[in-house]
Amino acid sequence: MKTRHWMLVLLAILLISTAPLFAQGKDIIYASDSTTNTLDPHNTSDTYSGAIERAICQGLLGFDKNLNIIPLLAESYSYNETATEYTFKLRKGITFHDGAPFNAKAVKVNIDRLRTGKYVRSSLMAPVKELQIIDDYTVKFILKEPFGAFLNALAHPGALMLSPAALEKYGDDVRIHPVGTGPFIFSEWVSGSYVLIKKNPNYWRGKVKVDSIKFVPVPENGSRVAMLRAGQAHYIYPMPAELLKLVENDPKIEVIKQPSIIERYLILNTKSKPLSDERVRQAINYALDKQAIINIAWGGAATPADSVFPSSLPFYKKQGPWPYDVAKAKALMKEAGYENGFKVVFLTPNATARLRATEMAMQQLKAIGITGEIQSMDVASFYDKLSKNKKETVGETPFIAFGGWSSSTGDADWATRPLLSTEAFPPNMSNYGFFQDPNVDRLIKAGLTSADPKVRAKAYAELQDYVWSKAPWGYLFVDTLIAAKSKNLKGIYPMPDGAFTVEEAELVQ
Amino acid sequence: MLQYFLRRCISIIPVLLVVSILVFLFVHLLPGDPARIVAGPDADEATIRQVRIELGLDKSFPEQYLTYMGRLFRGDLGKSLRSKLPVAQEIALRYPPTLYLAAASMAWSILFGVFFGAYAAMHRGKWQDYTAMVVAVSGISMPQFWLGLLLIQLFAVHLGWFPVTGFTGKWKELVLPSLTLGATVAAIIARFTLSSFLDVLQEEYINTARAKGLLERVVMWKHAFRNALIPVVTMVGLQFGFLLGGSVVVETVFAWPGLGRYMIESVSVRDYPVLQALLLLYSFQFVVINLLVDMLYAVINPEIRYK
Repeated sequence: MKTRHWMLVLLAILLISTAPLFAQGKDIIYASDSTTNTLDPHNTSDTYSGAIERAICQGLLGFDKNLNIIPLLAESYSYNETATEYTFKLRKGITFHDGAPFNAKAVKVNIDRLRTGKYVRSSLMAPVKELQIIDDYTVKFILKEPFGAFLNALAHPGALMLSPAALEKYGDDVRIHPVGTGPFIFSEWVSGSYVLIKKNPNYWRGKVKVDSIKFVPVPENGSRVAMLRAGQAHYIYPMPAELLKLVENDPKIEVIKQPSIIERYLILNTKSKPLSDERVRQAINYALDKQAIINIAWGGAATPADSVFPSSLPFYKKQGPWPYDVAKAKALMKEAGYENGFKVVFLTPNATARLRATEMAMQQLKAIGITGEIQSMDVASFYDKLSKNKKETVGETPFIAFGGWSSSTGDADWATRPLLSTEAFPPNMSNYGFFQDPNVDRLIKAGLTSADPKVRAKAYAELQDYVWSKAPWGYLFVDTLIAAKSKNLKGIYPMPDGAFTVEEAELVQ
Repeated sequence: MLQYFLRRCISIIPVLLVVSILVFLFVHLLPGDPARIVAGPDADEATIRQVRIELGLDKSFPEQYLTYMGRLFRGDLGKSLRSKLPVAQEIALRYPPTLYLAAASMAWSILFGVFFGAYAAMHRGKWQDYTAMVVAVSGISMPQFWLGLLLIQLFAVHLGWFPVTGFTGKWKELVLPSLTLGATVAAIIARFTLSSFLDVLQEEYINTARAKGLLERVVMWKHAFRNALIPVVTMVGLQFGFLLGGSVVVETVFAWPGLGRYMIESVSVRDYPVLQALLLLYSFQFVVINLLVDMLYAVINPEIRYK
């Protein structure tokens, strides 16, 4: 009797002493260098805003951590051989945060909104001729022409589903009142300070393990790291490579590295002499010491490019890296008749790392006689300048520009067509070097007009083999994304596209 | 006096009108296309064209200017191209944090700056003077981001006394950023006070006062101080005008939700309406502060009142 009494007291003490642990709020702070621009997925052009929207809203399809397409609000899907009809069976019993039911009508409201053409992401639904409601939980997209990357378009954050009731109530002000079906409910957005989302207690995929997540913009690298070290942020992105030493020995902090789908390269103006000569472009690739640029300009946070697009994208086929061989580069220059080199203009955005990378490339190219002035400008002026070049006149000024690309749909088509096809000449898309090759156009089309993975894989394999040796760019490297988090936080990951996923977030003791 | 004040007030209007034209031209002449930025780095031309129409940037230059001026006269600053929120609302949200930061920094710097400056002047050529001026010169030469990160490292990370970044309305959040921002200004004020004091001390009326056998303390505080203060007040006013624009560096380091960071974010995305509104606001603040400074002269030096 007496012992039992004591045990009760002990138990009580134990409970009281651990109570604060249980009572502790599971509120997470996510500090990032980016600022939220909008929370309307259909009108979002930046990765950061899109990633927050993904915590609130979901699409018919989504991506897993490795950028594979997974069904979300769609239970299953099928398509015809010519990639012109896609049918989706929708999941039943899901409601939006405001209670509106998710069904075929809701899908139609969202797709119709995109199809008005008024939104930044309207282009995702440009291939759609018609959206048919087969029954309450089945929809069928009929496309104007074959489009093999359509599943990626539906997995894109631009095709997230908003509550039809919210769209009706707020109209375009839905950008500050997003309502979806996701694991978190939008709570508050104080412009310039933070975005706060709270857990959805009725989430259809299971229990959400944290109470809230606050997204705070902290532009200064040093301050972001200080927040993590002081325990005032649980997760920071990006973790600056130059400060890694500071946190690597901290027992409370864990660093996460993730290969990205962001490829960097030197855009070569292929319409201008002598860069129009394939041998000269190959010489440039031999003359670039990729690893040195990565180590010095990029703080080591990258791997040398080994194909036209990064390995995290589907249908990737390894080609390189291009060997660093100055002797061979010189021989090629001689063969092309430019033994004494030539002059070009180097263009670069003035962000420190990019400027540094361009300066290093300049120095390395000097070894094979390619010299020139550098023009650095802020990123808006940089793209303004490149997109104003005209096919007819661009040949007059040979330039080499520091470029980069991330395929926002996570598909091989969007990693090649906007950059290398003839239709992508500026101002239409981003083929800033005016690279033109009928064989490339043909292979890009072959990859686009089929939904059959086998057919597409074959087309993109051939495309990569071919483009790699044609050297439209000076291939540089693929970024490695670095994030850092407090060790007791689990389940938040950076995604290869620079976004992140918070659905499985959990604070452990 | 009142008449003078009113006349000065009315003269603000044409100044702002000219400024508004200059601001519009300046902002629109920046290279870079807002539609391209809003549409995102991977947008095609069709999307960019659509965005341009949505933002009203497809209209001719004079047409855009007239729309802008028309709205301005109705007190409408337009909507941000980036967030589509009303600019007035966005600025109203960011104004208080910048104002608090400016006021707190100004308070520090006047206190320290004037004290150190006057102290150094009174001990001209002695060790107190050198020490005070070494501190002041260090204050001017220290880069703000460096000082800011240093303070964060010591007081936020190691000692945990203050939060690292952000502002939600608590005084604790104000301490580190206002010290950082105030350091430079305090140093400038100290230098200014010193040189102004030294000028005044060479005036004949100071000799007269001393010759009369007045206590040195009385000479300093009653005769020299008030007169030495006039250029300092101008300086303080000017500095306050700058601080009210929001410090880009300090607001970035401390993730401060103020105007300085808003400005820099808006420049990088070419958010025309925001830039126009902010530049107009800055000019307005400067004009008003100049007016207040002129009024303050009259308070400090009665002689100015009668001119």
